[in-house]
Amino acid sequence: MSDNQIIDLVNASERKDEDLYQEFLESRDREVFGILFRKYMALVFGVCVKYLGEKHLAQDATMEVFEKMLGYQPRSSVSNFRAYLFVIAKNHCLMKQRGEKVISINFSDADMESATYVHPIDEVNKKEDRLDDCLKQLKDLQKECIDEFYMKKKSYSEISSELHVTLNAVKSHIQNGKRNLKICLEAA
Amino acid sequence: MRRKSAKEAHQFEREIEKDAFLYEAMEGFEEMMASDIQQSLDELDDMLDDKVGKRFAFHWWQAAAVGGVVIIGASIMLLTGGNESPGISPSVAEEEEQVEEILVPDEVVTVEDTLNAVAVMDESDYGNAPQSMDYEAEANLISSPAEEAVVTLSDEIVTAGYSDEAARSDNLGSQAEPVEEEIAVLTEDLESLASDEAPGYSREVLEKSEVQPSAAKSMERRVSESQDVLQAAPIGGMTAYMSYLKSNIKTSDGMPNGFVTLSFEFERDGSPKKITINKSLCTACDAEAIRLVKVGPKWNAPNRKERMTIQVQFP
Repeated sequence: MSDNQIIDLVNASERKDEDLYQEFLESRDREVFGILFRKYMALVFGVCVKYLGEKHLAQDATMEVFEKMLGYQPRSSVSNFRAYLFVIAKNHCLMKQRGEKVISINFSDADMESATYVHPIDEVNKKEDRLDDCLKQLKDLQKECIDEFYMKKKSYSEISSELHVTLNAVKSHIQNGKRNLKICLEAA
Repeated sequence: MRRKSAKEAHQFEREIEKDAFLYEAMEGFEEMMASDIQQSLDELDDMLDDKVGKRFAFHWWQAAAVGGVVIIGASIMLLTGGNESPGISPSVAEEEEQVEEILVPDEVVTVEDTLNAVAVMDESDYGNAPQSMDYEAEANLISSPAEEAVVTLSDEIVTAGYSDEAARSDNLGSQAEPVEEEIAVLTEDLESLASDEAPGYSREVLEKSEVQPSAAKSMERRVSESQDVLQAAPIGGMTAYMSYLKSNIKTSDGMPNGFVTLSFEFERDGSPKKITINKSLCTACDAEAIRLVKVGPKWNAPNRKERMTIQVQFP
């Protein structure tokens, strides 16, 4: 290995993901991809646990994603590696969960879009006018949780004790509320 | 680490809501205990190392860096005529230490911290040890503010999991007895590790022999703490395992009295693998000991590469 290559590897954590991935695609060097993958491996693992429910299955799935990506050539250039990895990992785990034979990586543009999607209510400086209207149309608990969380800036735990619902229920209401808001915003 | 204020919690939760990848990963982790998460991540790290062939690459670097430091140290000694001023040697030592740390950060953190976590493994300290582990391991992941969130969320998981641990430790009270046995056996185990000459594993040996002094200390503390959640133990407890051995051993006439010492690593499902004889009694005895271990109860082994040593008594 040349000196430059060594220096590159050492600095890899500071380099942009997309550049590293591009370099990997050209060299197919396991070590290079290993550095990139390791950065997000915990996230991949967490997602696998979510869908597969069991630690060892999730570990296997994580390694399968790694192996798979070693051989994979994306159709177009990858502008957001992290989101791209998310889609691959999620799809792999979903197919594994359904018991489907996981042969190739296939995902649509829609998958990529949902992986990079940021809900208007989560965006910091954007004020979406129709948001207020759509908020009014939400069901009671969803509306309340979203109001407490986003407007009153309370934590899940505070909302949970105030509204006398479980922590998980708070999260669910927020998730469902956001989904309904999205539908409402897109319909208008 | 103090608990987060509501405001901090909210900030942190906002970050996660924005990020689908992080959100779903957190959903997965909520199902697991903090120690489990840490252990799984360590295992994954090893698994990735194997796939990337990292051992050999680092071996190269390590040799080069250690060589470089030796040259620096030697030239400093020559320059100062062999009388090192107090100011110099600590920094050389520090540099050596630093170099080793830089090159093998993952290994040192996992093996050493696992043992330290065992040492301080009583209820009041539970909040401290694993958290420092989390910080170190997760620091590798931090690439955005959202991912910094991963580090602090594990606090919540730790404190949430705390009550689980308290309940479990009651069940472990019955295991207090075999702890002393285990300690004798495990100190033997660490000693034999230090003398291991297997070339491919020299990096592991380097770290494990470094870990020995702190491990010896942590062994002593364990006698008084009597908690061995993170040490390898047979499922069902060591006492039960010993009686299993006693009741299932198949002796034949030629077998002398004495014992066989054997050691092994663990498969993912807790069954022993790579069983080797440390101290032989007779060929048939050794074979019988191996058979017993192979077909016997599986083990809970937090660190599957850490060899477990046991003795099988004959008759």
